[in-house]
Amino acid sequence: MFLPYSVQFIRLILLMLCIFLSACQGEDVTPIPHIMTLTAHDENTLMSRVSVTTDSNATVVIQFDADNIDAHQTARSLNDTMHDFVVVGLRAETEYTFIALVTDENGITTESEPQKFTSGALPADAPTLELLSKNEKSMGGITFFAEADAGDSSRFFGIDEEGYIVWYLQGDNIPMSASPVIRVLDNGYLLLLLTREARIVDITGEVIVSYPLPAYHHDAILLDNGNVMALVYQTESVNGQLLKGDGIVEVDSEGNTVWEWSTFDHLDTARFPGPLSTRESNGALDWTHSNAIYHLSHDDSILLSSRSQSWVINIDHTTGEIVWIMGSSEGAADNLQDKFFTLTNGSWMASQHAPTITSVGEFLLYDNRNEAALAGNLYNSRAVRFTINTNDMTAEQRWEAIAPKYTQSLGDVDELSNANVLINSGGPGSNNDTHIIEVTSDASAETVWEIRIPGISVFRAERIAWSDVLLTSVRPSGDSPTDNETPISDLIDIANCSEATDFVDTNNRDNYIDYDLNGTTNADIFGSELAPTLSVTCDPSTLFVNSNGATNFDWVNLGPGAAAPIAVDYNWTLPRNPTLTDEQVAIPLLGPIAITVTGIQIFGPNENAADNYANPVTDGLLNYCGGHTRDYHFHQRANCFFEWPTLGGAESLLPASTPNVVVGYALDGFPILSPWECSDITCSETFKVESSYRYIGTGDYANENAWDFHSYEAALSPLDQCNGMIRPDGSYAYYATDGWPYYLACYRGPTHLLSDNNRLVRP
Amino acid sequence: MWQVLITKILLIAALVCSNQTCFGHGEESRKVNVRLRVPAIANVISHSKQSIIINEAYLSLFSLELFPCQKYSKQAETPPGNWLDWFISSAYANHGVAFTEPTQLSVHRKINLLQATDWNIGELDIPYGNYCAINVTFAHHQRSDYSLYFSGASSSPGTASPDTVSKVAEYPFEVRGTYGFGENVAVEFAILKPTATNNNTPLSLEISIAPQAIVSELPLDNAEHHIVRHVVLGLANQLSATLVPLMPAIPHDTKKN
Repeated sequence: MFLPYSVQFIRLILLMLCIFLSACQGEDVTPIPHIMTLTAHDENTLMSRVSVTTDSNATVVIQFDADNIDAHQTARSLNDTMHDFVVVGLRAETEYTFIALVTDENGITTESEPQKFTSGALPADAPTLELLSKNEKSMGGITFFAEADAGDSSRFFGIDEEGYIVWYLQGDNIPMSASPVIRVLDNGYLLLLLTREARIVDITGEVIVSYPLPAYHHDAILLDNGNVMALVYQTESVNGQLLKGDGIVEVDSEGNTVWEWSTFDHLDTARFPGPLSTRESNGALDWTHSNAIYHLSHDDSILLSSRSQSWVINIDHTTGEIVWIMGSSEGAADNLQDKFFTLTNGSWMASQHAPTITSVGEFLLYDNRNEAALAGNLYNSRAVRFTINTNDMTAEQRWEAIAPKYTQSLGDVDELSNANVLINSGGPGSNNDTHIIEVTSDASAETVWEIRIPGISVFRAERIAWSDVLLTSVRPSGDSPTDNETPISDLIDIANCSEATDFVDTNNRDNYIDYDLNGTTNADIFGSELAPTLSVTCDPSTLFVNSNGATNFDWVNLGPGAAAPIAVDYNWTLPRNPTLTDEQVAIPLLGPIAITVTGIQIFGPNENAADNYANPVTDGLLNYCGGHTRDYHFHQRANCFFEWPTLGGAESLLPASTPNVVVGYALDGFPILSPWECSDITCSETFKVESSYRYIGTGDYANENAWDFHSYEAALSPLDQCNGMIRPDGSYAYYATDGWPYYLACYRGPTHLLSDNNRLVRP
Repeated sequence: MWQVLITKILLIAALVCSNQTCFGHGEESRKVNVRLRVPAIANVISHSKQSIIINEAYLSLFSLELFPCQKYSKQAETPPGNWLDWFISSAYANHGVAFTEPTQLSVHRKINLLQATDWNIGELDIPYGNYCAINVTFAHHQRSDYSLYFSGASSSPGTASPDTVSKVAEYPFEVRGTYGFGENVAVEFAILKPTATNNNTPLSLEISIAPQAIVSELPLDNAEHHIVRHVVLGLANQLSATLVPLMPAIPHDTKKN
């Protein structure tokens, strides 16, 4: 039916009026009064300080953009009234618009009035850059680099997607080395390799920690245990000839050397495969010329790149033994011959740099190919990926991307978070310019971004997504709780308590899992008493873990009657260095049987009598992290530790699908590991550990006692009836398996402290 | 003997106090019908990245609970506990889902998202007062294996451009939510005592869930747990509850489409 236009017009007016009136009625939300202040950063022209004061508690995000420049947002501040930011990533001499997005405790967000800020000029010696290409497949973000061989005049720069410098670091207290390196850490911090120093800074340049180093060269890395590992020169006389080899040293935060390794102890001093290895400097032949190290955390081994030998050597961090060698075995000593792979496809690298492992377990490196076929040819250098099989000792070249120029020295390659590959052809070769390119990781290796930096050399380049760049932009305000945040070493005594290194510093908000992605924690919503606290200390025989039972992840109301989580003081006491006993002791039916490395209680694989002791996983009501109730406890593996990123920017709280990851400790003192394990002491393979229990019920989970309807069958897996086994290194551990009993079904260790932790257990 | 008698009296008093009469419910309440409406989702979805056909899709509704305003505004306070807590605190009792309050409703319904749902799912006997939130919990129960479930096929395994719908069957998918998820959704209504102007008209709590927008953006190129999170977080935003006068019921068996 068609209505006259006049009627339709009147209806339209009425409709618009209704919308307008209803919109006005909805304006009963009063924005939080706030003041935003912008000031120039006193040391850096491409940064700005932003302060926001709110009349009541709120969280704040700063958004900034400019003409033809995409908007970016900082991380969210804590729920407070004072909010300080250092905004980084500004182009020089550009007028930006800043807006504060203020979110009150009811989740209502209001925008501040926009304010303008014009950034300052670039440093006079900033390099010129030329963007050669860019398309939509590029990951975006800031690319960081520093000029090599420029001494103190060098400095670290960052450039945006369009090739504009948006970040630099300067200061008299930054001793640049000949090969300055900037590395990106998981938490948004940067690792700078300086002269005799490894320095971790946040994105504003504020020093987080500094490690004094011996006279290292080329490379140093931060290990998971907090130590730094560095390459050092070593010279020895062999048969009257001075050889320059390499050592690897591991130093703790106080500069103490805790581990050493030398090429002279493990490699063949008679092998000189090409001209690089016979170059002479101060009378010594450049026998190994190592230029990179990389730690493989999944098996605690090290990759050492020896440029002169054209080898990538895998070293067991525990034993120091060489596990395998990628590269040609030609001319290698007899005792090394079984360490090499047979290459079934492609060609080995020559004079390479920067080996790393990709997200799919392939080895990626920059292959200069000084001493390969067509050495020196314009399109000779490349990025290349290999896969290895340590069972049959075969290797295969899986992919290569030809570099934009031949580089006779320097070079770097990284896998980006979107799987693209960033290649830095930064050394002299077919020209003296640096080309940094981003290519796709498929067979086409399409170049999706390329920048040219004329006339300078760059050893390494790194890319960080904007969200990570701005992760540490929130500064602690004057009365912010972070001012009082206790360093991890004060609460978790790593120095005197080896088990403590397995625990997560839940006192640190960075280790919070924000499942619902709203930037708030349980403490923000339910009160500060829900901020998790954890301390771990030891005496020679006992591990003491104190926690308030609050979770470091979002609590969800699974009803009924569970309006909010609660915090309870828990003081756990566990035996240290447990040994296997002759008997298996049943775990208690109710109450805690173990604790997680976050200090949260773990219950057994059954509900209570009112629920027929049924299996909590199939009958119960568990949330996304494997537990439930107001006084939170786990029944199932803490899945959220492995699946979700943290507020601090880590991909996950604990590494997924990785052996040797401690999820918790049983009350008998044995660790509970995530269900991935090494097949042997060298961890040549890993496997998923499955439960040896089979469900034998009918599916009527609610009425089935979990203990009566699961049958142990030894053939199902290597695990014993308690859900544990002897590990390749001879130690014993339980496993947080996918299947029932999920953590453990009985104790195999000392149980004299059970009653201290579970009052339903008789002393 | 008198000590035993006093103990028994105290225990009986405790038992009595564990029921609703002790907390001022009973006749100080009003019965409210609870109705659930979920429009059917489309079983063919096309967007910029791919086309998908959904063969099966369901949500498992576990329970509902209303929160009075004073309780909701003090979420961290401990509510009155069960007398059994005196003997075994909740921290030691493992888990027991008990529906002991008149504001709680056990539902245990499997909602087929491919069909429109319009169900009476129960009745609450709600104490007089103002109510500010409703908790809706999805979880697997004896009538369903998963808290949410989708299966079907897509035109591409990930980010490829959509082809024709005829190619949709090339990539089957299955999304299984194995964990429970609850969300407190803000509501605003009062249960008033009957007065001259409020003639005790029967009331209905109408709960609506509109899942189409969430399902239309299923991020099938992500890991399963990411997809599940996308759905459960999105559903919370698509959920509403309003209190309305109860309309005359249409006999369920005779209702025609």
